Amino acid sequence: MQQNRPRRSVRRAGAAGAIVLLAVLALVTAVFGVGASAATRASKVNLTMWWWAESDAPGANKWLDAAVKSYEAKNPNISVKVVEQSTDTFIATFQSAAAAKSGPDIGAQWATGPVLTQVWGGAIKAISDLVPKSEIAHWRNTSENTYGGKLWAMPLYLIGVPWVSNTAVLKTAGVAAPPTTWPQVISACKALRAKGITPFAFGNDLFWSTQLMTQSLDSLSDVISADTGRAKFTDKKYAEFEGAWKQMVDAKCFNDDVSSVNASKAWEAFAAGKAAMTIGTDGNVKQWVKDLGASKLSVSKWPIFGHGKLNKVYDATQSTSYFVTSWSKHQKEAASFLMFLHSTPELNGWYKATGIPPADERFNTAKVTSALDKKLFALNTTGQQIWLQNFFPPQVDLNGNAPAQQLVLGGQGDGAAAAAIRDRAAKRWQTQKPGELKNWQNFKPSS
Amino acid sequence: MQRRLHPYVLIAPAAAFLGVVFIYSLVRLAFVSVHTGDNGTDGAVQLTAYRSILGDPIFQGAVKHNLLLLLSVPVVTVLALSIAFVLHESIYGWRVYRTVVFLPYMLAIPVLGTTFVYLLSLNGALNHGLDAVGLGVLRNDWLGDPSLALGSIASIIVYHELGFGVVLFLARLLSLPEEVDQAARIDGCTWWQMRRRITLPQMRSVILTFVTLEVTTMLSWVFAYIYSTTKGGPNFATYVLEFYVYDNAFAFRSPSFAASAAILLLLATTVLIVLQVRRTRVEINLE
Amino acid sequence: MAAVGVLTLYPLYFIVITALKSRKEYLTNQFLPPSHPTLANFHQAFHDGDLLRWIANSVILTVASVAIAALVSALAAYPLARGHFPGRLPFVGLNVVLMVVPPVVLIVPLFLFFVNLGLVNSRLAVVIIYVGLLLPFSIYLLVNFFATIPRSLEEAARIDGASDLRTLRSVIMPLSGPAIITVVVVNAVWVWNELLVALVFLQDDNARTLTAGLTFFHGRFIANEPLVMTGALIATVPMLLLYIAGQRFFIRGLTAGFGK
Repeated sequence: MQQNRPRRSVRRAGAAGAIVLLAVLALVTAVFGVGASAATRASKVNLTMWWWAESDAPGANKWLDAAVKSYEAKNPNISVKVVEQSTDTFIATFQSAAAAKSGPDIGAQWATGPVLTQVWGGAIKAISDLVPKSEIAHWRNTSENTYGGKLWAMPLYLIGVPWVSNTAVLKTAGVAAPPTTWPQVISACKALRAKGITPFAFGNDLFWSTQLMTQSLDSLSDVISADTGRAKFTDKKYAEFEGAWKQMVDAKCFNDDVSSVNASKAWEAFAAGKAAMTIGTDGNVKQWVKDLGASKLSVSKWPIFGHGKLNKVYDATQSTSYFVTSWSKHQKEAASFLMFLHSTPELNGWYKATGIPPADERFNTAKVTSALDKKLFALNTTGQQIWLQNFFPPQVDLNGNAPAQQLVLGGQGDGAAAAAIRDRAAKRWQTQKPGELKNWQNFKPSS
Repeated sequence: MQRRLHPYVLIAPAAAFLGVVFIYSLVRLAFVSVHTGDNGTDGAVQLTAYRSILGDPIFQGAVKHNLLLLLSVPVVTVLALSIAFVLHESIYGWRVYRTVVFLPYMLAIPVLGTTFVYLLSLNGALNHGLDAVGLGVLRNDWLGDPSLALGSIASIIVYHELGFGVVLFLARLLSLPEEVDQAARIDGCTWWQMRRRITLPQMRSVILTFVTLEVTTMLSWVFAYIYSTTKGGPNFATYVLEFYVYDNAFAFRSPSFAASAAILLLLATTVLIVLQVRRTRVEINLE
Repeated sequence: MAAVGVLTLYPLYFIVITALKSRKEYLTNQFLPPSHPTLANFHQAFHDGDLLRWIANSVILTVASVAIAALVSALAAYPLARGHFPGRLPFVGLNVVLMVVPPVVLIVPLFLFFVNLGLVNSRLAVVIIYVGLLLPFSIYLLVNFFATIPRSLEEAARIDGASDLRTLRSVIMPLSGPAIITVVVVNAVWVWNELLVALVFLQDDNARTLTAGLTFFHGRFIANEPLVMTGALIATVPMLLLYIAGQRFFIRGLTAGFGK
């Protein structure tokens, strides 16, 4: 039992009083702060936009700030508030907003699966109902968000995942050119290992290995068939690509800590010139140009392994897509603002700020100057681009593709075991979510 | 003349906060768990969600991992007790040690997780250190090897919680009367006999309190640790119940699954805690 | 013992030396202290992020919710420790059970609740949630502590005609300094470090907290570890100061609240 001298307790009571006073002040500030920001003047249209792009395209935030200012200057009755989203809660926060049917006027999600899930949940107003066809005709990669004859979300930029090689490091092991076929990958790995160089840098948090399945498919409907149970992920067509990764594991292509570090950590070795090859986004390549110099870097499509009709497509996506929410009271104004972001000056400004190609054919390609940028731009915009992971229901992607990659790259299982994990995840999803299953069965992606 | 406020008036503010934050939410959760649809409002009452998740191997794995994490409760308790005993022997600078051991408890768990990912990776500081002192045979892929990952996470939790236990136990030790100890020493009791027969019985209640808090941590507060390290991987090796709830609620848009799993998690922890409280009730001094 | 100390301190040491390295140096030197220590990361952290505003927001939320929780729990704990009325033991038991509810379970229903009230992006909603989440532990600890205070002290006050509130304020509270400080320190650490509620409920840039803001340092594909560690360090320092300042009372409070 503590005995306190009375004088001290008086002082302490005073301190407690002060704390309570502070708390009340803080609360009052909070309440009034909210009140003030919630008060809307009837004459003015306030648009709220949820936004996530900076980690794909450093510089994106500054560009949007400037774009909003210039839009507000041209449209004095409209004000646009941008709320940046965190990667970790990007899906979660929109999910809670959609459940409450209350939130931003302009939302954002990653293309295809995540966007269509919200479409089926009734959270999205089709952008093709708000924007003229002639405008949409200029947008690239619209097939990623087309469903039931409507376009649901607007692309803003295109980001791909090229196979990146450090040609200087390759040369030290006698490899003259970056590999274009899988046998070349394996022999390059062996030559590099013999010199004590890490052939390929990768991590345990980006589940891109499934992307290679595309090369064995003939159309996107193939993957929907396996998702929905009309085919099996253990069938040869869907499973053989895992063998490619297994070959790389057996040839010791990967950094030895591939299953204990995340990709950004593994890329440090590439950035330091200690690894010969990797896969990364256009944004990563920009960083490596600074670290290593453009002359050492070569970017290309992934080497060929599969023999499906899609084996020459490039793996690019619009990443985030922007859409007007079904509950917005200013859908027209929101759509106009989105169209403004696709006006030529804004597109050029975007490229200047980020170096990432905008998803619009009106962009002035003369702005792309360096040879490496030209190559990246061509990869992202010519021929066909598919980001296969987007065509998995999120649950199958997370419960199937992710552990399958961890299994193979961690050396704990072979391709057949990985394919079995993916197939089990699909089966579980089919039985657990009959409603979602029906929506996916009706999904007929073009190509 | 006494102006006495009715006790319910004094409790009312607390009850109001608890009502909004817990009772409303839990009732709503229970409701959603037996309905389908985005807001859990469609259709008749049904138990399909419960049936589905009970048969889901991922759910079963999550239960298993939570139970395995419980094994670290005795570890952290014994460790904290030992350190408290040693410090209580008044070794030089024990106050400094107490402050040091407590520091990790002040760190945000995401900060701790991020740091440990760097330290425990295959080429991280731990393995470098093992190599340096000639224990290279012990080097392992602590978070990347599915058979080790859960144990590594348990170690991170122990690292965080240990200091709290030490401070708690040491505080209790310092409040014990010394006379008993001295008398026992004169009677020729060994150090261990004294601890076991005299000290530990007096610390029973504080140990039980600590164990209760740690059981709670292992069952329903590990989300932040796992989210900031392995995210449930590799290959589900560290997937726990909170993750099952989170994924279904946010990533998979399956509110009824998330709610059913949450209700089951709650029932399990409640049973454990009620058992615990029954044992400690006497000591809560509620007359 | 010295080994335990070193092991405990190593992760903190790692945070500090990493924060002082440039990204370039970190690429080649991960474990040794920086050969060219730099404060550039701190500069960048304050420049790129809205660090000062985030800190201010965290302080507002922490002070408000911790103070309200202390007040409300003290009011409730007093009759719970002293009174005899129906529902007393069940209410104490309820608090013990609620201590185990994981917050991740409550997020969705609470979000819907506050949306219906029009309180999205509102600090008020977050303070209400924090107070609610803090109460079970606070009440539990204070009930235990109040129960150890001899009744004779209050009876003197009663005879003088003091009311319940007055007895609580002038007899119980002055004796409960250490317990209150314990509640304040434990709760402040919790609120300061809380992430999930802050991320989901405070999406507005102006209201973002420090821990939520720091997640923006950590991109999806591009990470700068020295910068991340700098943010971690900046977020940790205020809590370390709070602990070192309140350590003496804190330990006395733990002894009294748990130690019997």
